[in-house]
Amino acid sequence: RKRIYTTFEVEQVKLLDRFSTNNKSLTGTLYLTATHLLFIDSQQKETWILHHHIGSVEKLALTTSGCPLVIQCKNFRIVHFIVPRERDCHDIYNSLLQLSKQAKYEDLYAFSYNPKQNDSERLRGWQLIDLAEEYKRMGVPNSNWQLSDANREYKICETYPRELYVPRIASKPIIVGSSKFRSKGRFPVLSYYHQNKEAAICRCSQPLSGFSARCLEDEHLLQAISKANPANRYMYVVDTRPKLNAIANRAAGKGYENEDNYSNIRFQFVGIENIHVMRSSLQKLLEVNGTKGLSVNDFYSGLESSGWLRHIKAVMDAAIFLAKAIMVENASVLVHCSDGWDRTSQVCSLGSLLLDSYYRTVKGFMVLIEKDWISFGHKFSERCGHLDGDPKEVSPVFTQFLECVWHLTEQFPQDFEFNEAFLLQIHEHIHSCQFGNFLGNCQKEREELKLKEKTYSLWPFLLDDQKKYLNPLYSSNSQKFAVLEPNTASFNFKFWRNMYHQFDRTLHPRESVCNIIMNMNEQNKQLEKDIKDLESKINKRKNEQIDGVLTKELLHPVHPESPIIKTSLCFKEQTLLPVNDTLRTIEGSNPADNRYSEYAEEFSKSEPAVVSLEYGVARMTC
Amino acid sequence: PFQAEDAFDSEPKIKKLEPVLLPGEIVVNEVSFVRKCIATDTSQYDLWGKLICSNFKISFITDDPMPLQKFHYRNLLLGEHDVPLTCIEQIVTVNDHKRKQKVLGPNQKLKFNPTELIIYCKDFRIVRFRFDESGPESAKKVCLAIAHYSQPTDLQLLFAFEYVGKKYHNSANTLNGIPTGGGGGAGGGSSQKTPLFETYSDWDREVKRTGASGWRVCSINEGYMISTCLPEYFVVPSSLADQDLKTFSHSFVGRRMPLWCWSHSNGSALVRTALIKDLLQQRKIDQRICNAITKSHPQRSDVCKSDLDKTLPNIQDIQVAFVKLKQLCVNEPFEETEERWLSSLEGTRWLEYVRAFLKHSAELVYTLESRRVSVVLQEEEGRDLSCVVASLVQVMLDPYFRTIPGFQSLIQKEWVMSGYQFLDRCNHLKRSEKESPLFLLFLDATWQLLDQYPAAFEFSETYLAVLGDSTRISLFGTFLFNSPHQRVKQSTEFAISKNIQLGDEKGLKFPSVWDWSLQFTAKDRTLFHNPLYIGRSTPCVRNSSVKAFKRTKKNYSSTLRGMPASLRNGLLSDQESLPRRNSLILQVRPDPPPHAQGQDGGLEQFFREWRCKPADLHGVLLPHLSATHIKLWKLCYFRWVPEAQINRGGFVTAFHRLSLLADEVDVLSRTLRQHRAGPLEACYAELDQSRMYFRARGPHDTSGTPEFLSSSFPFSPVGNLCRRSISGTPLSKFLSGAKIWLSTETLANED
Repeated sequence: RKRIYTTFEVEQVKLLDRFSTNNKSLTGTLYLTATHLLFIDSQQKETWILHHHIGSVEKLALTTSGCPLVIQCKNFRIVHFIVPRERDCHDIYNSLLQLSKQAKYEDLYAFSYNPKQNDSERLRGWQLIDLAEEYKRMGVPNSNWQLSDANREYKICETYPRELYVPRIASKPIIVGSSKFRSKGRFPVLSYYHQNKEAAICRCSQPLSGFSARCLEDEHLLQAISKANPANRYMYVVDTRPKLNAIANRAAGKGYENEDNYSNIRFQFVGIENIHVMRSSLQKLLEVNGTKGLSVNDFYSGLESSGWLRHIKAVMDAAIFLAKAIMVENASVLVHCSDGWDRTSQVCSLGSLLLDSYYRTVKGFMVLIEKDWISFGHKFSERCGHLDGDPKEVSPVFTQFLECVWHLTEQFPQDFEFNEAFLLQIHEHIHSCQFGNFLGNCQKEREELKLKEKTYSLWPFLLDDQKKYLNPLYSSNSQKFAVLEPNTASFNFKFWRNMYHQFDRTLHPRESVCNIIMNMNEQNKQLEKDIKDLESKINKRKNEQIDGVLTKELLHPVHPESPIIKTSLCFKEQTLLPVNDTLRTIEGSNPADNRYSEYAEEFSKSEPAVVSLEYGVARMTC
Repeated sequence: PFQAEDAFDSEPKIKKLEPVLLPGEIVVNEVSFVRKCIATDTSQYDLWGKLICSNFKISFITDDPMPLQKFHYRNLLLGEHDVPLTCIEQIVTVNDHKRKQKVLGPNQKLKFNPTELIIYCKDFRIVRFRFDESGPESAKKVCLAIAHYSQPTDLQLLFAFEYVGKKYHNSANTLNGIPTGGGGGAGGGSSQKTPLFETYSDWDREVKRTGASGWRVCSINEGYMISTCLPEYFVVPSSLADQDLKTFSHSFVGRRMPLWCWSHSNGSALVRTALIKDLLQQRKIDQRICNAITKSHPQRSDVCKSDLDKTLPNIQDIQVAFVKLKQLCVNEPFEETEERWLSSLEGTRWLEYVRAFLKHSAELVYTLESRRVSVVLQEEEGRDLSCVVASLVQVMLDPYFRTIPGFQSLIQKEWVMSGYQFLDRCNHLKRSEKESPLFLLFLDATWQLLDQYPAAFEFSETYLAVLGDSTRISLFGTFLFNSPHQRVKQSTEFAISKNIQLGDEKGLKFPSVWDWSLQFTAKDRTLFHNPLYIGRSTPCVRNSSVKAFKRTKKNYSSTLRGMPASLRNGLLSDQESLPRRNSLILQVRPDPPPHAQGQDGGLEQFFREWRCKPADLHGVLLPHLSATHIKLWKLCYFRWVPEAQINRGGFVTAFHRLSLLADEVDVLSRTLRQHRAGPLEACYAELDQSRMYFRARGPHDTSGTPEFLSSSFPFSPVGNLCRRSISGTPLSKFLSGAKIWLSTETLANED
């Protein structure tokens, strides 16, 4: 095993189980390395915590057994240590504060992480997701939409990507004019083009309309978007904010579109709250799911008063609005919020996912995140608090998006190629700073950081491990434009236990349907193979018989069990091992995040693998 | 009226509008040109037809096809629009013009001609009819008939009696009455009969099956000589003589002396009893009983008593919770409850009660399994809460009760024969003060286990829902009576009054609910099967050559990175082999197990250790009890609510996919077993042998979700009144100016 370089170690540290009523604890040694906090308990079980995952460290009042230290992680792990000596506790506390909050991008894990790949491999990794290819897949450029070079040098909008698609009839002066009328210069551009309906989802930021200002270029651009849709004259303009917030913005010279000034638009608020409301809602949710999770009653009212599921529902409803506008009315939609990088990203990406089954595949989902989140400038570094920055900029906007997708996978278990582990793994890495994808706040910044030269892309690693992230229930033959129509009545939204309680193993079910099915699948394949083998043997023998060669073997009918049991034995090895392999780790030789192995151990223990095998054997030997 | 003429023009149509009647069923009243409403805000989907009231059901007969409905799970006893009289909860008549409304009780007068009839059903459905075009007098008569016949004053007026009487008359010349009994299991592959526990031998077999050595079947109650609420045969400690039992019985409430339910393989037994009312004798009898139970235990271990009246919610509380749940799921407009959904759900306390029963049962599992102590369930009469707890404990401990025949036998044993008062608790006679949904609560708790351990049960949630529904069809003797004695007494009276020769039979034999072929076709019964369930290995696997495949320690460790904690605990040699940086650590031992913590600590320890082990689906199952694990059983409570439906989604789509897979495994195994040569595809064509509803069409069948699947499958909410129109989409909701949530934080925070 790789040697671990530690900077710090404390013995006799206790790790408390936060859901135990009789304060059960494990005793062990706590180490700090350059990148991780490591706890090895007396049974040699290792708990690794990446410094970047640490959200907050809290030192509680001294107790008789020692000094309690509570670490809250961004991936919702909460660890509660008791350090025997206060001095040690203080040292750990200070070290962690330093290690978990870096001032410079260059100090983040991604810049030192080395998965032992050469430059060309790394570059190929970065080229895996090609957005130009994606727009081609959607069917643009075409007679109505074209690639604009207006932002090629980031001159019009710093937070947009270089390559933007706009209506063919929108000239450059119109684009420039419109961008000056939009907050942060984020003018309306194409996010998703629906080839069958010829309708588009476009995105932008709020207009600088104040109480009465207007901009002819902006009005032209919107008209150009609606004209780019031959099937429907009018378009929807969706302001994802609550109406009151939008009105308040008018006083600051911002605001929303006046329906009278724009021809053929239908304006609509959808009421998703801002990042600050979302941040505090998550905080409340986490408080509830601590100890209150143990009793039925406090939990439900706590969950409700956190408002979290209500916010998830609001995002989902807005996405459904988009999907319906395109599917039912053939109308294009323009989406914005304030700056057009939080709620707009949520709604556009989720809307596209409802409309286009490609985004429900492993690769397609990566493309979707790359397009609507990374390239359009969702401020990952600020929202995830990668650097020691303004805590008011931190907000679980992307987490909400993942949760919406999870709710969809729950409602439509057959329609997604990926499983829950895939979503959890992505969530893990938006905070891990292990890969370059989510560092920085926009493409321009990422280019300046030279991320493609200095760091690795997450996607090829996920694709290599694709097997772990596949949903065995997936039906791949659904049509490209099979629209999902989720039900958003509030009882269809539930607490995402595997996200918010992912480290509280005692709270998880003992068996996972997913594993059972994967085993069933494997079993099927093996049985088919056995049949083919046996058939070919039978045929062989038949031929021998026809040839009139009466071999000795033929006198003794083949004992049916032996070949089967033999293959079943191999089969057993094969099926059980993959279960163990179903680790949500992608670090290869890196021991980081040992929790994946805990997770997998949990699952690999599930009995059905063996039972189903017996069953298979039973059938074969009867 | 125009519609009327229209209908008369097409005469052949009218002829077809005849009700389908069962033997003994008669039409008591009918009215034509009735509109059945499908949506509240539009009449465009309404159906035209005839409404009849029989002595079994209300039936709406129409030629119109059901709009928007993609699938209908057909019950052979009932038409698509029928409601059994015993399923009716409330009858509301309305007159639009006079703005009058009246809830109809039995023998009541109606002073206005109704323009509308709304039926609230016990299974959460709401059905609405309009009489705008029908004769006002006949409409009124039908309403009154429904009110009268759905609220009978006497048990013998329930339809089952008429039905069985007819059957006996029809078969008067044959030797026996109608064939009854356990029925053919759930159909499909299982042909096992469900033991009804009416006979000595059924109990004897159960004693032998569980290996209960210190227990015997006792027949002192033959002919119900001792108690009218006990079965004729039951199981008691071998050391108690019949004479003792007879003496003791007087001291128990309802003479319900201790009844054996089940024995663990370690010898500890589960026993249920009523309280001893005779205070003077209490200690003495209690002592004798306890001693006898101890003597029946191979280790002579103690007896643990569980006073259910003190630890669990009472039946009134449960009824109140259920009424609130019904309000929440059915009556209140959804827009109003949406934002308060979670707290409203919590406010019903239903989930809290379900959890309480699961929790208490799990604690008793610990006592039986780990402490190896016999458990006595005590309850005032011992025939309500005891039924739920005794059944749940057995479902958790004994995998047999997780199969379809096993589960059915459990219901026979702990509910039907043990004198659960189905008549009163289901309120078939509408004397509402005794109503309580304990049986449904049991099904709900079983569903929670099924939801947590989806591969441990032979049956599906559809089976549980259908079983719940069957309690509201007044045809099955299973759910009609307060006790087996009541069946014998009432049906003998009935037979005498109807001149039916009973011969040697003890009372009339009613159809059993376990004869599922009465309600569903063989194909439809396959929906009862859980595709994830893997049966206990068939006996032939038990030969030595296959035993090698059982999980051994070696196999076990090969699947893990290290040894599981349970095997490693306290093994110092293991630790020595691992690299150590500090010799001090070697002295650190794992914390000593908290033995000294008394029962509660032991309980937690038990739960914890159980969770550390791989779940044995054919062993003990313990429920997860945290709030995120106890869920609302949506299929049961929301299946009639159109707004709750997820089209082409929900768990059923996974069920569909799994069925295809399981079917594929079945076909392949069968092919392999038979060494059949020939194209593999041909094997998929055989339809007869599948236990799955959805069949694979060939290897690697990846057909997508069928159009007709929705989250309420196999039930269809179409045809039941919904609050909003079916066409109500989020889009139109937004455009019609639905309320926008106001920001809860100050606007200054806006980004």
